Amino acid sequence: MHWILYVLLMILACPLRLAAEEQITLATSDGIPLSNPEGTGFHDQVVREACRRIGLSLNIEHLPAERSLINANEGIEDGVYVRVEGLDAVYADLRRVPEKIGDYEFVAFGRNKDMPIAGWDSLANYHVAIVTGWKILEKNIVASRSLTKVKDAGLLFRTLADDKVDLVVYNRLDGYGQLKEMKLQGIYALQAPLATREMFLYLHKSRERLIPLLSKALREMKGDGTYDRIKKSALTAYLPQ
Amino acid sequence: MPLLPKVNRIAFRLVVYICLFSSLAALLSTAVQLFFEYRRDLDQISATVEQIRRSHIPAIVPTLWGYDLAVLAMQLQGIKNLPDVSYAGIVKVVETGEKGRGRHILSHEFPLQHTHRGQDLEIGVLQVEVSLQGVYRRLMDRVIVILVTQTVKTFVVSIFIFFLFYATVGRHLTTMADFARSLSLQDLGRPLVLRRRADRSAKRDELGLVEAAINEMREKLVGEMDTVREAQTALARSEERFRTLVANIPGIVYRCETQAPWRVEYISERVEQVSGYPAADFLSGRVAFGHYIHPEDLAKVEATVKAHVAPGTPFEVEYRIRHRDGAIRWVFEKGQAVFDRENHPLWLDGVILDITQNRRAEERLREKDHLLHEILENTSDAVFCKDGDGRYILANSAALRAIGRPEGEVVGRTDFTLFPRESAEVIKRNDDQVLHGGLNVIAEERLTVEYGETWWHTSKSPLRDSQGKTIGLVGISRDVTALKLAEQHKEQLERKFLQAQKMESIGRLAGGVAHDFNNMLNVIIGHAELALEGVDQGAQLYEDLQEIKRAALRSADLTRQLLAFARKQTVAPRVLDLREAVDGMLKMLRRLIGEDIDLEWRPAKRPGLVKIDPVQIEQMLANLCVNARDAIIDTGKITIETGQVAFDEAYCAEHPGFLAGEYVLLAVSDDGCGMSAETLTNLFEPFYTTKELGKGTGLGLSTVYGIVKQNNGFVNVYSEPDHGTTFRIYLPARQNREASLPPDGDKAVPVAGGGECILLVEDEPQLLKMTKTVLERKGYRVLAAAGPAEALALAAARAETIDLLVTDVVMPGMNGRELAGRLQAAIPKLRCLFMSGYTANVIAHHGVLDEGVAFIQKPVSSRDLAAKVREVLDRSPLTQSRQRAAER
Repeated sequence: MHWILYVLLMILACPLRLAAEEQITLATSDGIPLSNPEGTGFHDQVVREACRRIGLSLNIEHLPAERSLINANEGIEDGVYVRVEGLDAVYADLRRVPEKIGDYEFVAFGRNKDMPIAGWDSLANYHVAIVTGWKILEKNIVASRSLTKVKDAGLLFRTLADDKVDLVVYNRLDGYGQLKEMKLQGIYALQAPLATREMFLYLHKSRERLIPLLSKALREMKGDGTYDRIKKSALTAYLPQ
Repeated sequence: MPLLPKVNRIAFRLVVYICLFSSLAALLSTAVQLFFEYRRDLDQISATVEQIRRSHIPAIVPTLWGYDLAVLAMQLQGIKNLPDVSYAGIVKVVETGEKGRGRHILSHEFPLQHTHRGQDLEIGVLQVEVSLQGVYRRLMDRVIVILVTQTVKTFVVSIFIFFLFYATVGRHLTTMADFARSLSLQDLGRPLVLRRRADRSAKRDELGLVEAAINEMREKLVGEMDTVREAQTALARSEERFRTLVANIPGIVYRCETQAPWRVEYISERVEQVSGYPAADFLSGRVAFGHYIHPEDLAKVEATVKAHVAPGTPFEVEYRIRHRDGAIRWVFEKGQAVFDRENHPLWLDGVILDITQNRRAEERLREKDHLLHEILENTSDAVFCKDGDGRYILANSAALRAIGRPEGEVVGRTDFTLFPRESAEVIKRNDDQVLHGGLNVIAEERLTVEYGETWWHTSKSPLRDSQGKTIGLVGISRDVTALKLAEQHKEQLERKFLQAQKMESIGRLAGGVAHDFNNMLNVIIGHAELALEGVDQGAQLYEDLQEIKRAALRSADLTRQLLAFARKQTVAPRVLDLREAVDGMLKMLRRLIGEDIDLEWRPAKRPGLVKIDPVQIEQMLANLCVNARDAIIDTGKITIETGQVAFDEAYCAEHPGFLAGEYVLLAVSDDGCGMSAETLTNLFEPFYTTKELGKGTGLGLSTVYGIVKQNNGFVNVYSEPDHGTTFRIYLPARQNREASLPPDGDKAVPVAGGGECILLVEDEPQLLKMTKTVLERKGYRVLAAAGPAEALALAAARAETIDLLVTDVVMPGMNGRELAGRLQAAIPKLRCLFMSGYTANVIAHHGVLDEGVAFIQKPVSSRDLAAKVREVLDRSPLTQSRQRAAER
């Protein structure tokens, strides 16, 4: 008799198990420390916790920045994080989760931490390098002495380290992570940020029903301290001492 | 050598041809070469495209996956730099060069696939356009070089060939041409010599062979000239034979065009004899066949020829032509079209014969045939021919009408299929005498055809072929049916005439006998009555005298019947209604026929007016009813009826003796034993009776017959043995009653005389004496004369005293009527009374008294005589004046 009860319980529990294990695949182009192949970056953990709270398990695909948007828009992945506001105007099939994941601070990195940087125009006297495809930078850096575009962050900071440019403009947190990865010394993020953008999670329209759930979950995480706790645990190792 | 224009020289033309051919060959080889160059460039382009597929796409896919647009642009530029590539781009991503610019573009698309999460995703499409303009430009550059090179080469080769050909061939050809031009039959001995090297190879090349062949031909011509001359002689003989043959053909031999007016290519001299135009006029085209064909026949000739030209069949046509002298001639033409190798009609070949004489003979024959046909068809006699088996081979319309069948049902058949067997056998017997006996037979054949029985007067003769063998017969039959019927009718009429003559003779005989007999009876009766006056009625003598008188009176009845039959009975007819007359006699008739026989009376609905003496009606009915009674053995019925009938001409034609008009019928029928045909034939003869001896006088029906005839009527008898008899008497109908003297009736007439003087004339002395005695006893003064002469003498002596003339009618020398006339001329107041055994025509017309004439029939009793005398003496002057008028 016992084995019959066990089988019945297994049958009854099966749908619950399947429901609990519903998976969502999100693309991201973030790098260390915001995202890493292990899925333990700051944004990875925030998004995973939010998904978990609404009963989803998260699968993360690391893709180039534009590819992640294209794939999410075409439904190859269920969504993409983290991206600036307004992309749903370009990518018609993407829907933004209104509760932001975090902020991007675009700052100039230089070898001299006293270099006076205040706004985009302050870059006019410097040779500047950026990563190709960063629209906000390509749009606003118009008055620098020269503007060098490189393929990726490694080349970007290598250019700065090799003194080929005076400044490089990059996301603060990503820049910290890159410097740590490249073990570069004597390069500093200059105050104040040139621009700050709120960054959001976008879902494909087929997953539109999840948007209020995830928004709610993110708000709850921020309210119950979960968000800050994850931020601290994920970023501490990369922030300057 | 004559100087030829450059363009006519073979060498020049050869060079031109070489140039043209070389240029054409250069163009073709250039085209082929360019084609291969073009193929090679296309292959190069294909290799480039394949290179893009194999080398560039694997590098582009990861770049596109990473969306590194700068690198992508460089990679596309690398493709763009490949030969002839004009554009490279990734759809909706990045592109290099201008897409779709210009013509002659080859477009290629390469799908870009990337494997992601185990699936092949198409992340973009690489578009590459290859321009062919570079290929064409290179080809054009090559064309110019090749053409120039080929042109120069061709020109140089052509010039060389021109000189080479002229030196080796051209000048020798010119020599051969000059030789041939100057060659003649008289100059065949001069050979052709070409100025060439005198080696053996020159003798064996083409020119050497031509030179040898021409010389060989020249030598053969010399040898064959004799043969040609012989052939010419033979040809001349042949033409002469043809000319003679054509000239001797009794017609025109011709060859002419296939269409009107048929202008001639050849025509024999005979045409002048037929048409009057010489052959030269035809050959020169001044005259063509169509010009002299009769206009009315031209269309027929044209149609005939046209119908036979296309199929190539021979045609024959007869038509008229107008001779040059204006005479019309008939010709017969037979011809056929001649065709070329392509089967196109070239000419008409044929002959034309003058058939005017034949035609006239045919027309005469046709007219004769028509005449014979008209004779056959218009004769009322049936004309026919039969073969040896008796089958009709010819029958004219009269014969067909006689047989009663159309020609199609007669010709080929025998009489056994056309007539009843009996008739056919009659015909066959006569036919056999002709067919097998070779005799001419004239016979009368009685045949039965559809419309009845016919008689034919037929004459049949053998029909013989040219060897005199009998192959059939020819017959002529005349319908004599009408003649036969007429003969029968005539015989019938003759019989009737003879019968009438016989009746007339009998009547005349009976009348004569009765007249004399009446006189005797008158004497007997008169004397008997005179004797009776002197004898007591109780005496035996009185009874004896009475018997004598009764016997004399019965004899007088007998003579009266004879006179009635002989129509000598004197009657006083008047117009009366036959119905009323018969109706008044029924009582008497019923008594006559007895109680065992019914008498049925069927009067007509309308009055039937006839003019007849009522006594005669009584006589007829009495005789007919007595006969009917005697025909009924026990019981039966006699029917009397009257009616009105009208006979038209058609009815009278079928019934001899009847006259057209309206009649009143008196019919007496019985259902007795009827009469045989023999009895019917002698029915009305006097003294002919079938009754037992003593039961009939044989004068009853004779009397009826006489009365009917006397009143211009007819009598018809229909009888069948054992069924009965019907007598139908037809009396002429009258429309109105005539005013007539009222009958005397039975009024009491005074008989006694008043002393008047009577002149009595009678040629019979006994009768004169007896009558004188009777009249004197009645109180009259009587002057007796034994004849007219004596009477005239007495009247002249005592004219003033004579009141009445009583005279016999028939007397020798002068009849009573004449005597009365003469006496009344002298004595105007004189009254007359005629006496006679019969009346003849003196005072009565066919026995009918003229109006106003006083008459008394002999024999007469003394009482009747006295009464009549008194009546005449007392007659009114009006009656007397009528009498005189009648006498005048």
